[in-house]
Amino acid sequence: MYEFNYQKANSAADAVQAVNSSDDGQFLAGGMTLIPTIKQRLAQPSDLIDLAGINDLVGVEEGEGSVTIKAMTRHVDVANNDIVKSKIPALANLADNIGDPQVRNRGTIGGSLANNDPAADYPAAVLGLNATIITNTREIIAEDYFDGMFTTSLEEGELVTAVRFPIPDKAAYTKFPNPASRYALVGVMVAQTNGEIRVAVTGAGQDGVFRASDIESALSGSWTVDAAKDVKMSDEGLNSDIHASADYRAHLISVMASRAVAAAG
Amino acid sequence: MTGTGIGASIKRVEDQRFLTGNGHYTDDINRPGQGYAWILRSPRADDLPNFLVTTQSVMGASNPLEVKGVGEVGAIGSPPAVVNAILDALAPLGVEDISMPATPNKVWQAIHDSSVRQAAG
Repeated sequence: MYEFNYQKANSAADAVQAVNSSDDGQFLAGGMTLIPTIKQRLAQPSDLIDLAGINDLVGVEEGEGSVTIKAMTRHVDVANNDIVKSKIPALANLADNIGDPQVRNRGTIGGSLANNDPAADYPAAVLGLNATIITNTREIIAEDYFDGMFTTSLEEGELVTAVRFPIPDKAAYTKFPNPASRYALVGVMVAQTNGEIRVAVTGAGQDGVFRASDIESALSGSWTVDAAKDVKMSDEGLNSDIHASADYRAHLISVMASRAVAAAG
Repeated sequence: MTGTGIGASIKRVEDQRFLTGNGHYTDDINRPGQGYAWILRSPRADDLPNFLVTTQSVMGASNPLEVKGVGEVGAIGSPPAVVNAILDALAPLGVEDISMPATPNKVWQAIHDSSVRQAAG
């Protein structure tokens, strides 16, 4: 670990100000990726701006046909929130299966989405449920937000403050977890919202989360387990590593999608 | 003769019972259910006689290779049991070998390659 300055922000505006006035400052949310990265000397921020004390960034609110989750809401609090559980149970279930209890009790939705790990669970929820990322300066639709592995369209000093999820008619998330890390080898969110069907895949793509348009068309024709399972995904652009080959991941996408359809009903 | 002096007799002051073999010591206390404490010396290197160590190799009798397992016993029987179970399950597909660790990916690949072979054959 290299030396850095620790600053605790009292408000979102404070935090943005602190990052902008530092040499190479970074926001610190739950720190589930950032802290290990710093400990391994893979990152050397001049300042860490801790968001943990900003109460305005925590909580869940129900809106007109949507549920808004503020950025510093921890996974465990999304999983146990009554609004999320009743309006978007797929999202509560997803949050309940991220990592392990230690991660769920520290990690936040905003931190996960700002990091955009290609095997993280939340990106599949945001893209599959067609959510909107709300920052201190603007709103970004899911399609425009994810910009490749560990990359987003967030500008320097731009802070994710909340995520607004439209309430789907049906949705479910199923993943094949790495048995050690519980990161998704392949995770699939299927959703029907106002007649639109979306299928978002995390863990498999070299460029991070993506929509499986072949499965979307198959499910638009017939919302059945078999329709999803029978789609033969191409392994082009998929990850191949010690955990799983690209063609195994391609196979798992159809299997996970079909299980998600079964779970969604 | 009165007074003291060299050679004068001295009256014994111990109790009569000690003088007659009837004294009681703490060792003699014995109550029902009583515990005892002992100090035991542990053996040390210089307590042992000189000795030589040799080995006598005997082949295992339980398998054709005549080998025996050593070390962590739990790591000897279980991997072959698991791999044999997987190979038994995959035998109808003609799969005869799978390397450890038998990850889901490897099992899937073995099945996949087998059905591809069958389709081609």
